[in-house]
Amino acid sequence: MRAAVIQTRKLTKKNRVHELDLEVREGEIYGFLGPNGAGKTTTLKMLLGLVKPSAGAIRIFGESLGEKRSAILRQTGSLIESPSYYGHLTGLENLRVVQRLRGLPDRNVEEALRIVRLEKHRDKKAEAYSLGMKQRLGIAMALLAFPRLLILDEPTNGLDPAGMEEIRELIKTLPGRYGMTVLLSSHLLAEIEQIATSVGIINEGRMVFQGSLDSLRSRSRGEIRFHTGDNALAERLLAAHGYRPVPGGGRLVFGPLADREVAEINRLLVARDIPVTRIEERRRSLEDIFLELTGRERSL
Amino acid sequence: MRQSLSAEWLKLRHSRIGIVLAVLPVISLLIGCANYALNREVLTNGWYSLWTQVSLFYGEFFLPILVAIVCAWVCRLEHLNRNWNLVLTAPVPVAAVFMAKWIAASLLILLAQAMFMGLYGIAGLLLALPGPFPAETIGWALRGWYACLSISALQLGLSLRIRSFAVPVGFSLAAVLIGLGLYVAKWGIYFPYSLLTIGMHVLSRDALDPLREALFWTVNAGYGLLFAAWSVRGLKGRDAVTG
Amino acid sequence: MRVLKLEYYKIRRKKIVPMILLLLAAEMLWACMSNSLSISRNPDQAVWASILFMTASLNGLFMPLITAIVISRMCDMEHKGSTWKLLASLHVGRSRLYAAKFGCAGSLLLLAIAVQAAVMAVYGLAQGFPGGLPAAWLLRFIGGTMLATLAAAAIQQWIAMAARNQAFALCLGMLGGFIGLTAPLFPAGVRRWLIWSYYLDLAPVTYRYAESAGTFAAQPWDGRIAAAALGTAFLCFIFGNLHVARKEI
Repeated sequence: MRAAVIQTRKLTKKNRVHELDLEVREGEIYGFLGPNGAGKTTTLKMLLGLVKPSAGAIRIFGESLGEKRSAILRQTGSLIESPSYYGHLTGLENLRVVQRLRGLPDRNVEEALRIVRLEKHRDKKAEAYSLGMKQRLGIAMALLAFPRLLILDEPTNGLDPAGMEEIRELIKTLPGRYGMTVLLSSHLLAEIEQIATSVGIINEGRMVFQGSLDSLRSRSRGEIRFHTGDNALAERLLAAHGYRPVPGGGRLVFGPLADREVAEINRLLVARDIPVTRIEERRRSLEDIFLELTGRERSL
Repeated sequence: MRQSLSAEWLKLRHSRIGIVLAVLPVISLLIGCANYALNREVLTNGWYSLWTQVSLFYGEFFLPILVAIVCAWVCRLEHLNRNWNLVLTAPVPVAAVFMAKWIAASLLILLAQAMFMGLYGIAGLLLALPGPFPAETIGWALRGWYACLSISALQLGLSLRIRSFAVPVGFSLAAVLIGLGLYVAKWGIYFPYSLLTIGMHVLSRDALDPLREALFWTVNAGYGLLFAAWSVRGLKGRDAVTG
Repeated sequence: MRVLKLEYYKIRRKKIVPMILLLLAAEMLWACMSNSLSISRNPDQAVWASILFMTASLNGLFMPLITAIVISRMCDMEHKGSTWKLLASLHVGRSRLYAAKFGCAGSLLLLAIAVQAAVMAVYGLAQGFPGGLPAAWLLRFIGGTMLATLAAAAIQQWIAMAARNQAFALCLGMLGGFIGLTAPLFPAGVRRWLIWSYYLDLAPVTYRYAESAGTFAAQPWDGRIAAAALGTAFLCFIFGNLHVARKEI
């Protein structure tokens, strides 16, 4: 079992986050998911010491954040909320600020600019950057030290689809190429699904799920749907044999069924001359699972 | 126009600009009154002596600086949230955007003047000054406010163009000093910052002769229109910067 | 040290030094011209003390405002770009960053005061004031003005960092200028409580008003006022630092 890079115990912030037990393991890409306002950013801020928790403990790299904050932050890079930058300085100068504070060599700056594809714009003032460029500058600043732990708050915010893809691909390579552990938050489920290895879902300040992506997927109950010529009759018939469909308007929807059960239902219907027009399997998407876990009709 | 104005009003609500507006009149009055009280033997002219004490530094130096702060405040929100896009693409002519800010700033300064006058009146009563409240002073306060109109047009032009809050205030400091210099050199009637000194009768109780009186009203109006046009041009030519 | 040097790097292109020089130019121009004028009216005024006193008096108006403006600009950039959040997430620590900023601002203001002294020296020499360059007085001028400025700067930085809206910091600067300008009117008992009156109280010379004309006189160094200035600077710096370092972002 790999070491825990981040471990929180009953992390609480009044009115925002409630007794969160977050665990991120080394080398993971941890997707921190939740609707807007769920407490993602607050949690991330607490991990960096920007916000003081009302209760609970935070351990990063095995050390307590309260005691070893400086040493921990030396090995952490982050991008929280909107990207921070000095508008009157160029992109390069902005990176130099972080470089000098952290005491990093020049090649880090070159490498970071190259990775986020801002080389051509390095000498432009940051205030003249487009939204996407500013976002990439923020990512460059977070990456600059090539830290052990990278915390990114909605990193693809403001990027066009090509840009988002680039950043996603980049993030995927980070654990392998640089040995980083990545904690990233998002409200875009599809995005997390593509890059994360582990997932934590937060809703209204509480963690409602934490685990690997696979175990989240396996929660997807899946459904088998039968489209028949006479649903009402079919329902009565199947009920008599112990199969009760979930009300599904227009079709017969069952929870997960074993193969032999599907075959049996089909046989029963056909034997009674009820035309079976379709048998469909639906696996619930991550989105459905998420919506169910967060109990919302709409995610925003 | 009405919508622009109510939009400005909305932006000002819940802000603590009242504190900023009140500070200057209150301090001016306190210090002026203290000074008057300590020097009663020398200052024998009752209400008018009090007026010179309280209005001297207020009208000479600090009201223009307050104007600069108010104008910077009024432009602040747009700079901050990169709202220029929002403001400039609304179905409102650019000139109306400026006018709304100008009116808002002017009303706030009028409020400050009113506070000043109110405190002056109260102070005079508390100090038991002889004679009735001099109605002239209200006229002087209003003339001072009128002079502030051209100053605020200039300061708005600066704050609209410059994202920094502090730089236009720095400018007003330098302008104030220049204004004082010009006043002393008797050219004050041609410079907006000196016109404030003249208008509020800070240094002299005498009414202006007809020529200078006419100049007061026209030069102010001239500067006001000039700076207003300059500001609107600045808004029009503005590439809506996103950053 | 590294952090301090970074503060200078951060203010590049902000043209803060040119702005200071511009405002100083206005102030010193006024001081010199006003002094020239009074000399032409009264030749007795052609002494070093006159220009020193004039500058110290004007400093009551100018220095609080220059201090407020410089510090406001240095702090505003952290608010505008949300960079304080970024800096706070580094290992350096907010306290050190706050201190570095104060150090940088202080050095710029010291530069301003030194420039004032230099201008006075040149002016006085050009005017041929008797007695040669009053080095001791000039040094005392620099020291006294700096102490008062540090106190004002400590308060200004606290407010400029704690409140996003720079109007409050600049409003305080305006107030400070008002008090500095009107300070001569207050009795000594009141003046000692107002740091903005220290520009005159810590000056090397003072003016004694008499019936028809006054005279300049050397003003003894008031250790208590100096201590009060230093104390205020120290306390406001510490409290400001603690407050801003602990504030949630």
